[in-house]
Amino acid sequence: MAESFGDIDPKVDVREDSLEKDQKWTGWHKLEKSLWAENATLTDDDKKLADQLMTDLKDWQKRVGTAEITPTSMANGAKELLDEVATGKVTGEEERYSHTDLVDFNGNVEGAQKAYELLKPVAGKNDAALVKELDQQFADLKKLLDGYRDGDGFKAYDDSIGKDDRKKLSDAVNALGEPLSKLAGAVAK
Amino acid sequence: MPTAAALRTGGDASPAASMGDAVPFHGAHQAGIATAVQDRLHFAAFDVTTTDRAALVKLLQEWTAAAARMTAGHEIGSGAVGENDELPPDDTGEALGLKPSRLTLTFGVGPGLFEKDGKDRFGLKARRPKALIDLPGFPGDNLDPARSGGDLCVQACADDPQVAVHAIRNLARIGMGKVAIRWSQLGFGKTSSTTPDAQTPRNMMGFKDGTRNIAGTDKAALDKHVWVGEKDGPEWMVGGSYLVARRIRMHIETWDRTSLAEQEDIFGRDKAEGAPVGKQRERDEPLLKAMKPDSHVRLAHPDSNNGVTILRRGYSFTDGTDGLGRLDAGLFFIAYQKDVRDGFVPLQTNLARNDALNEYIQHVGSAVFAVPPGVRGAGDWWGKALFA
Ligand code: HEM
Repeated sequence: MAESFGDIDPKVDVREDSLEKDQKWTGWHKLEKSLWAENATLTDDDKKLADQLMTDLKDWQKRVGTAEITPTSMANGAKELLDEVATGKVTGEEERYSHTDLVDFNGNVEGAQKAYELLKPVAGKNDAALVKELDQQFADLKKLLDGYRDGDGFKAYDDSIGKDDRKKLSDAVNALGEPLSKLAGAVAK
Repeated sequence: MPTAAALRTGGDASPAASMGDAVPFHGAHQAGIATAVQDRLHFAAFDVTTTDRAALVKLLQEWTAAAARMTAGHEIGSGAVGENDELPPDDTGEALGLKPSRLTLTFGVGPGLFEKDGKDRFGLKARRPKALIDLPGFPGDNLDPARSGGDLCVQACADDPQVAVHAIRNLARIGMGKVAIRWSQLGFGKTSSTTPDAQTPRNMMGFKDGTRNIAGTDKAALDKHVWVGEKDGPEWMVGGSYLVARRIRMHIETWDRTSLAEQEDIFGRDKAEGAPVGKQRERDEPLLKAMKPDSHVRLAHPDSNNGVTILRRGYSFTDGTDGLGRLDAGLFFIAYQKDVRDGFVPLQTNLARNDALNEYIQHVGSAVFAVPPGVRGAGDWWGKALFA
């Protein structure tokens, strides 16, 4: 979703090793490193970055409100939210210092599900089997995620979550991702 | 170039297939066993993740339909550039324009399909063949669970690696939500031959491998050692076979520092010609007594094992290097036999205890599967008789 506003994403969501030459490191992941990997304190520079991050996100929020949304773009947005989980969050490489990947994971799944619920009446008319499959796979994935809840949030996605468990999560994401990739086709019919 | 006769497929005595051709998918036996060995392998083991028997059956029907199309060199579903722009294409497309390349897809079911963690997930427990045992441990085994086992398998062999990889990729994609790949292995140089007239390929140790093997055209030997017969049962396996796969890592660096004399002693054959000790030609009958007692060929020969004979169909593999810079290479051993208990198990028991080769190899992955008979025609599908 954020990726459809090309100028904002590199400001708020860039990781240290994907900086281009002379690009200044700003955004969430810089703050993440300061908070979790370094002294757990924010320098004055960091505080300025935090303010900038808020401004950028507010700007983004405004622009999202005015973007044109069609059933197809919404369905594709749901698919992309899950793609992000499949390539990034499930590997634990995104929040490499804070290990809050499961919070984002869950956020993306919920976002995808919201979009899906809005499209479901139309999709169901065109492809009942697809809707049945999606209901099932959303439920299965959410059940699996629920096993990682911890108080209001989620367990840290660190070494305590082993390879086998990560593979189960990855398999469940693929199981949902395949039918979800057919949603746009079903609402465009 | 191998001769036409060398490429003749066995078992079903189908006509000669040259490198790019299609191998018939339907028949009494699955292709990919007696079929003349292709150059490349992609072998995949799957865990069944669904608990819904009907969903599994539907998947096997979809897999069979896709396999029939891919082995014939066709795209699956609505193709690689389907009619609807808003949909991801059914076929992933990387085999577009490539020849069928003698692609064979051979399907098997593992012990976990019948019973897993004490559960009879699909009501199949009573149908588990006695011959489908859980393999025992062997001395020297260092098995990685992440490279072992599996509830289902598909062996994809083709002369073009892209064709084999495309096939597994598309089957895995169709399976998402019902099955998940547990492990898979690419293989590149065939280390066996089921075509005695062809030049015998060499394995990663530099030796000709597959000299003495069951020929794909030797119907009597196949019936005796490979295909499950009516009196062997169970009925759903008649015409099928049992597959053992072992990922065998070679200690390449120490092997390379071993003298030629020792290398040849270890196998009981010379390196250049592949002739047995004391003989001139590769195809000369081995004289076992002339070989060292712990030589591989002497120990593996049927005469040292009460006649035990298996069909070997393995491939070399190299998965780059390990963290220490050593080549992660070896033999992905595949054997077919009528009964694992009279084939791989006694043979490997003997080899694991005595083989001089053990100093240079280690078994790191293992799996066993029951391979049902061939798909007979349009209404048939992989495992139909098992689920009947
Ligand atoms: C990395 C491991 C292995 C290597 C490098 C290897 C290599 C060889 C070579 C070079 C030959 C002689 C040529 C031939 O007749 O094909 C041979 C023969 C044979 N090997 Fe292996 N092999 C390995 C593992 C195994 C295993 C695990 C088994 C079975 C459990 C096995 C069973 C046989 C049999 C049955 C023969 C034919 C013996 C005969 O009838 O003369 N091999 N192998």
